[in-house]
Amino acid sequence: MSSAPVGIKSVMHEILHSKSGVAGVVILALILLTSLTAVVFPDNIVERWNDPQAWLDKPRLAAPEWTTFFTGENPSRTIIVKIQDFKRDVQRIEQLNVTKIELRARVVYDYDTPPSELNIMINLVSEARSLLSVEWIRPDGSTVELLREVAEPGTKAVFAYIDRTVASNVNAYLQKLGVSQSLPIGVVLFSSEKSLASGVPKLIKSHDVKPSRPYELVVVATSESKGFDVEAQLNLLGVVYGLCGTDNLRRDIFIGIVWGAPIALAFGLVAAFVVTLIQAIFGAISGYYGSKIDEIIQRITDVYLVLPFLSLLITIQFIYKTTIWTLLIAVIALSLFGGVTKSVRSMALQVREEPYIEAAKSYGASKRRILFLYILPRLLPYTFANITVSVPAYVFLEASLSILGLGDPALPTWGKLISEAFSGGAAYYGYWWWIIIPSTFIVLVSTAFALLWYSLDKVLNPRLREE
Amino acid sequence: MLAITLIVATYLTVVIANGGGLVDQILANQIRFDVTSTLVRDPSFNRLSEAEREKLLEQRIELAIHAKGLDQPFIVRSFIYLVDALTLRLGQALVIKSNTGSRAVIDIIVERLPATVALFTTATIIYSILGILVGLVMARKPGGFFDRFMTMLAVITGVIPPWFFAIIFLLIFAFYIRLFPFGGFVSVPSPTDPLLYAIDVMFHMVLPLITWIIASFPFWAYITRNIVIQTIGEDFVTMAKAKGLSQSAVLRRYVLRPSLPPIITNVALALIASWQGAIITEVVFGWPGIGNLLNLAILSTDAPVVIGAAVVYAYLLVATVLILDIIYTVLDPRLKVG
Repeated sequence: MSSAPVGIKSVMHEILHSKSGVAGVVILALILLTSLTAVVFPDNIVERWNDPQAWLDKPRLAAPEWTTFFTGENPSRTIIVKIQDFKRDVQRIEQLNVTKIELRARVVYDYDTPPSELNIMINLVSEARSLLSVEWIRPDGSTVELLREVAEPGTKAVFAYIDRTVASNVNAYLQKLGVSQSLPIGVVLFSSEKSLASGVPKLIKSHDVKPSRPYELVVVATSESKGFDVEAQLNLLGVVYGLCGTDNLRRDIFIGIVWGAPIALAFGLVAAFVVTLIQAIFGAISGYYGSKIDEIIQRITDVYLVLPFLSLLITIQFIYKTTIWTLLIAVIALSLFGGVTKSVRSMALQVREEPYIEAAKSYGASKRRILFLYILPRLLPYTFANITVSVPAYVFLEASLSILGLGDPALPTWGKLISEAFSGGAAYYGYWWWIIIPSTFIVLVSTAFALLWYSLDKVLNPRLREE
Repeated sequence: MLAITLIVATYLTVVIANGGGLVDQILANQIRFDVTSTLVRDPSFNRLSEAEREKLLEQRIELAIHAKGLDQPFIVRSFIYLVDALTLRLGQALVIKSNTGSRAVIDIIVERLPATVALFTTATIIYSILGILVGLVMARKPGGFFDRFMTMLAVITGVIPPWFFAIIFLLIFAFYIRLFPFGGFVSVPSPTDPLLYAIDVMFHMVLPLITWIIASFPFWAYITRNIVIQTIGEDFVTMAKAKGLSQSAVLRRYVLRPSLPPIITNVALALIASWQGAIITEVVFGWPGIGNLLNLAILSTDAPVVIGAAVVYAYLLVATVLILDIIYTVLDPRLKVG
C-alpha cells in the first residue's frame, strides 16, 4: 500500500498517465460532447417526448440514414413541404359568388423506393362547407385523383396510404387503367402510368423524364364563405431517417440518446458517489473505532447484504411510482451499508496500525481529525476505483427497472429507450437500430468507466500486475 | 448472530413488501367494495331503511376486516407476519395461483423452483468451471495480453446485466440466424413423449444458458485469477519452486489447494443466488421460474409471495454460510487451529 496514491490530485495524475485512463476520459468526453448538441433541439423536448402529435413529421420505424452507405441503395428520405412552400393561386369567381384557392406543391423525387407514408394536412378556414379536391401529378404528366369531397371547415389530416376515401379513388383509377390486381397506394402513386397499365409497376423518378419534372400535389378548395382560406402541408416520410433512426412512435432516437446521456450520467454518478462514500465512511469508522461501534456496523452490514435489493427496489418503485430522482433516494437508502463497508473496514484496520497515526495520536489529534484527515484520504484511491465501477452498474439499474416498466414516466432515459424497443418487439421484428444504438451508448459508458478503473487498479494492486 | 441478521432482514422485507402498510389498506378497501357489492345485490337488503342499511353494511365490513385481522395496527401485524415468515408458514397468496389451482405460497414457489434451478444452477456450474480454468490461464502470465484482455472484459461484463445480453442475443440468434426460439419453456403445443419433451425444454434453455454464462464467466475468471496470484506470491510456493517441483505439481498442490476455500465460497454463494433466479432475464426469456414469479407478484402487489420468496432465499443463504464454515476447516486445516 505504501506506493499507493493519496488524495484526489494523485488519482487524477494516475488516470491521465495511463493509456487506458486517457482512453476512458476521451470516450466520456465524446459522450458529453454529443449530449451538448441537446442545446440544438427545442428545450421542451422532454414534454414533447411522450406526445404523439409532436412527431407526425417523422417516419415510423425508419432505419438510420447511414445504412444506405452499406446497402448501396437510395431509399426515400423524408421530404416536408411546409405551408409557406406551397404555390398559392386565389381566384374569385364573381358570377357564382365563390372563392377558389389552388395550392401546388412541387417535389423533386429521385429515390429508389416510394416513401413510407404520404400524409397531407389541410386546414380549411371557413364559415361554411367547401368543395375540396386533391390531385397527385407524376413526372410523366399522368394524374391520380386522391380526394374530391365536400369538406367541413377545420383541420383535416389525410394519411393517404391508409385513408379509405383515397383507397377507393385509387382503386377506381386502377380499374380505369384496366389493372385488376390491387396494389399498395404508394406503388400506384409513384409508378409511371405506362408501367402500371402493363402490369409491372416501375417507380418513376423526376430525372427519368427529359426535361426533369417534379411530382406535384394540387389541392383545390372552393367555398362561398367570407374570409375563406386554406393551408396545406405535405409530408413525404422516408424509409430511413437521421443518425439513429426512429421508433414505433416516430420519435427520433438520436434526440432520445442526446437527452438521455446527461440523465444517465447524472443518475449513475450521483448514486455511485453517494453510495460508495457513505459505505466507505461507515467502513472507516467501523475499522478505526473498533469494539462496540465496529460490531454494530458490521451486523447492520450483514443485514443489508441479505436484503433482496432488486425485489425491494421494484416493490418500492411499483407502490410509489416515483420519478428517477426519488428512485435515486430509494437506491441510496437500500445501499447505505454493503461490500465497500466490509473492504474499507479491513483496510482501515491496517492503516490504523501505521506509525504516522500513532504520531498523530501522540501530539493530541482528535479521533475525528485522524479519521477524516489521516485515514480516509489513504482509502480514497480504492474508494474512487469503486466509484468508477459502480457508475455503469447504476446506469444499468435504471435500465433494469425500465425493462420491468417501472422507469421514470416522463423522461427519455437510455434504459427506457431499450425497454421500449424490447416491449415494442424490436428483437422479434429486427428493428436492430432501435436496440443496438442505445445499447452501444450504454456499453460505451460502461467501457469508459471500466478503463478508468483499470488505470487505477494497476496502481492499487501492484502485486496483481507483475510476475 | 446469524439468526439476528436473518430476523432483522426478514422484518425489513416484510415492511417494505407490504409498502409500509399500504398493501393492507388496499386489501381493506377491496373487502369494503366486495361486501358492499354483494349486499347491494341482495333484495332483502334493499327493503331496509337507509339508516338500517348503513348500519348493516358497516357491521359486515367490520366483521370481514376483523376476520382477516386487518383491524390491528400495521406495527402489530408486521410482527405477526414476521413470526409466520420465520416459521415458514408462508400463508396464502392474494392473487397468484399455482398451476394446480392452489393458493398456498409454498406450493407456488415449489412449482416454479425446478425451472429456475434447471436453468440457473446449470449455468452457475458451467460458468464457475469455465471461469476457474480461464482464471488459471490468466494467472500464469499476469500482465500479458490475454490477462489484460480478459480483465477488461471482466470489468465490462461485470457491470452489464445479463438481460442486456439476452436482448442482443435474441436479436442475433432468434431473429437473424433463427437458430433458437424467442423464449418460453417448451414449444406450444408441447410434445407428449417425455424424451422429446426434455429435448424441447433443453432446446429452449440453450439461449438463456449461453447468455448467463457469457455474462458471468469473465468476472468469475478475474476473481479466480486474483486469488491464485495472491497465493502464488506466498513464501511456501516460492519454497516449493525452490525444491525443484514441476510447475504443474506446484500449481496443483501448493497453489490450488489453499486458493480453494475462497473460490468455493464464491461458487456456493453464486449457487444460492442462482436459486433466486434472475428477475429480468427470466422476464425477457419468458422463463417460468422464481424470477418471473417475483415480477408477477410485485406487479400484482401479492405481498405474501414476495415475502415468501425472500424468506426462503434468506434461509438458504444462512444455511449455506453455516455449511461453508464446516467445509472450510476440512479444506484448510490452518483454520482449525485459529
